[in-house]
Amino acid sequence: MNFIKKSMLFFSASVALLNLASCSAIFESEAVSGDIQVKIPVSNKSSDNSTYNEEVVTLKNIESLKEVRGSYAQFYYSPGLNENRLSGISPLAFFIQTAKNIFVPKDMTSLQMSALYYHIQNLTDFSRSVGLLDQKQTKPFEIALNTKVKNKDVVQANNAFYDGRSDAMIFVPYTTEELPIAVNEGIVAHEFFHSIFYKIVFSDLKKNPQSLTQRWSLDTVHGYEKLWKSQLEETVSGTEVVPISDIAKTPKKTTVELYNETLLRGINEGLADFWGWIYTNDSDFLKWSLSEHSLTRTLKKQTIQTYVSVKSILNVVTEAQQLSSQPEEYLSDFIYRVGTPYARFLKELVEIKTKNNSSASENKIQISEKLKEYLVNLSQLSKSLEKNEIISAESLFLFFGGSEDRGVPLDECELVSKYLNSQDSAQKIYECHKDEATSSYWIQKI
Amino acid sequence: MKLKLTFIILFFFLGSLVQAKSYELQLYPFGLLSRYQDTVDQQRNFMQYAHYAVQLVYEDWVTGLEYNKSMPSKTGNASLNVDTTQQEFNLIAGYRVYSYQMNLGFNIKPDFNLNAIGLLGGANTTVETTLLGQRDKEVSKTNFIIGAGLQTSLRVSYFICALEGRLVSSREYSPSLTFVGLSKLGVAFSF
Repeated sequence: MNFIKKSMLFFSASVALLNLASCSAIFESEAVSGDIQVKIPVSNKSSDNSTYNEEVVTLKNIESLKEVRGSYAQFYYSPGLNENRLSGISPLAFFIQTAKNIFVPKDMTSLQMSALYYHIQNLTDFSRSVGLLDQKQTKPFEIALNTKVKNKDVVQANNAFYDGRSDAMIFVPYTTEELPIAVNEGIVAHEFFHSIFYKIVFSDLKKNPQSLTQRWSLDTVHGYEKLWKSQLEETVSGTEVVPISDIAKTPKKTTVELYNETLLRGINEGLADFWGWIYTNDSDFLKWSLSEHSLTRTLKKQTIQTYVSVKSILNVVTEAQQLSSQPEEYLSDFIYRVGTPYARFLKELVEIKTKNNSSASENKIQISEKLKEYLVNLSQLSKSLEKNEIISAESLFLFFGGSEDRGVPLDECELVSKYLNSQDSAQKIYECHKDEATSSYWIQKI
Repeated sequence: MKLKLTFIILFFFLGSLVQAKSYELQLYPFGLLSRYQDTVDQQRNFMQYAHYAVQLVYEDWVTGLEYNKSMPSKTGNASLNVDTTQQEFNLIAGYRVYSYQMNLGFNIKPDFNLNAIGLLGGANTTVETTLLGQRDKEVSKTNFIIGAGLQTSLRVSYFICALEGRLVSSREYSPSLTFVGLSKLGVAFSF
């Protein structure tokens, strides 16, 4: 056999073999869909000794494991924003398949995608079950990873936020040595709650052109370390750095407008922290990823149960207007001081209910269902505000403190009373009234 | 396990052949294999493996075994990181399609050879996840590898170096059909 003949024969056989092999391999790797078992780090959900362990969980309704895309979530990598939608490529995920048919992520991005999909799946199912999300809404939650967000020429790191305009959860690069934010299920639940708050409270405000609140930063994205006052700007390229628009472009707000906005942002942050606790059972879920914030944001029971009053908020808002050309950014840490007491209060409420009778999970469901009512009320209240009218900082306590036609047990009413009377130690302003017919109580101003 | 057994049997088979006549045994302790691999941002990068091989040449026929181990790939931080290592065993069979012996004088006669090769093997990946100081190790199923390519070698006295280009396919790879480049250095003995 001469050289050419030998070579031709060999390569014909090789090409035929490779063709067969590659086709079968491609089909097999793309066929991974349905309910998939993956191994990821999850919290043990213990209230006393919470930690994270590697566990096998099920990702439901996966359409393509290659992109970890399914009915619950879909991912973008370093996206831009185009016409209020994320634009760009989907990240590729890599897994090994063990002999027990469990998929194990081969790198950190794949691991974070799997963890996020799993938590969004659980949070979506839970939110639907308590009426906080529409059952009919089937659009997958959009999540942006490794997003380059620029603020004052600095690319931001170690943060996550919900962007209302694109209805997406945004993660910027994580550079510290703690547990990455995308794996911290408390933070994921926190951001997920922002999407609920936005849909129930903020989106309605946006639709109402008469509302005084239309100038509020309704698309504000909520970060842990800093507030992104403005919105993500539109970019054409999916890989370009996404700049934050110039804050100075926003018209100046009145003190009352800024007060209402600050209170709503505070309530949003507080309820989001409560949601993080509901999902993880961990009072310090921040400590795993953002430990420097954990001390001030802990949901552990405090010696003094109090909240930030209207007067205090107005003082800080006025100070912000006087001292800063960007008062919203000036207030970005303060909103957590406003919000944390609400989260602590709701957590205590669940614990009191649990001490009395039923299981913690049943009480979490019950409080979450009531929270939906509160958010609807808050939305209606915000829409109907007159000029110079403010939202009460006590609204959440009063809502859970019962009413004449809907009483609550004494210990729940006393908890509400404790918070409401914390502003003035000399004088009691609120007390619990008993309904003799039902032996239930409601909070009332003296 | 089956795969390892196959290689052991084959090793003894090759060993028995060595006892016959006019063979060449090539040992390659130093090799670097590179192949394209998809990355998270839908780009493609070269992934590198350490390569070790033993080849037996009888007249125009080539056969051999090789072991490839990827350079450790670590992603993550101190609290959570993922360490991935891929290894593969391949059985090689080939045919010498071209051979040329140069004469440089001083009794130095380098041998240049061009071999067409085919390969069959198996690959698996070990993933070690370290979460808050706790390690968790998982190993993938073994996936088959199939491939074909060209190997050029240059032998001077006992020293031999080789360059290879291959097209390989495996479910273990992404993309499943990919190009592999290989360079290796070793020693050769004639019998």
